Amino acid sequence: MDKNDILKRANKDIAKAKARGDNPKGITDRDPYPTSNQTVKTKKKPNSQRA
Amino acid sequence: MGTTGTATQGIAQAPVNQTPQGLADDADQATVQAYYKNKLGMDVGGSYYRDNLDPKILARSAEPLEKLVNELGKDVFDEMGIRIVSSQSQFMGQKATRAYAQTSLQSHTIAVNPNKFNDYNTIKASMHTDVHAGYHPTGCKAGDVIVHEVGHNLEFLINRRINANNRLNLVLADYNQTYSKAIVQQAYSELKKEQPSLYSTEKQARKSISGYADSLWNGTVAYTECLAEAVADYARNGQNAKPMSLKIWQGIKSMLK
Repeated sequence: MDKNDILKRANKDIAKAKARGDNPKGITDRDPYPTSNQTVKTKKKPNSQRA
Repeated sequence: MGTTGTATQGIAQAPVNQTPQGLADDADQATVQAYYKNKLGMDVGGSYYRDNLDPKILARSAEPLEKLVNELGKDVFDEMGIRIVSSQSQFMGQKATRAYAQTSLQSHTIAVNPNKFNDYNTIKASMHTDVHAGYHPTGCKAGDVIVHEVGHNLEFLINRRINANNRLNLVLADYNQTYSKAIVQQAYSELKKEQPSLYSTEKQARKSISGYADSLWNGTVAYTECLAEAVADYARNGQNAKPMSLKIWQGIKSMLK
């Protein structure tokens, strides 16, 4: 895979986030790696908000 | 199985209980910590031993991790600066008590659930059930929990390198799973061109890796989990991993060159 193709997609994604006015406050933990017999509730990041 | 080292004149010996590749199941704390630090660029916190967690799980993680180190270079792992710790508090919530582990990207920490990591056979049986349910990648075993978490750290390293001087972009990319999304979508796009009949949708391609690779995170497609599951699939299965995992792994490698 070409790095530039991935970067092109990523740069577009960041530009869209800025246009939307995304305002996350920091880096967030990833969800706990679950077992198949549980559903880890995906939490809305408390320190982040979307416009 | 490990080797019990006895000094042979003039020949450098591996530490006691350390096989040429990987760790013996009964390797002691010092051997495990030295191995993880020197071979894998990772710290194993004292809490792992304070909480009497099973060293066999770390021993069984060593082989797939070493495979990734050999492909990416130890400098990549040194740069990630991962520390493995035991944390009861992170797994107290009703939904999290049965989870295996969790990554805190900011502190480069992989916290393992002591209620899972205290016994190799428990986690082995649990992963066996998960794999048979199609929830985690085919062939994955107890040792691959750590590998999955390393996948998250690889994604974050890509972000850190690209946005080292741009805090806003770093945080936005983390929040939106920008790099895992770009890699997964590019992987699907290329596979669609190369093998049109393989997957009819991107969702199907994600799901081919595992059920969890097609889950939700933060209310949207969990690209970050898809990437981490692909890393676990590749580390365990190599060229026999799912085509989507192989493509994602190629993408990760190209971003870290």
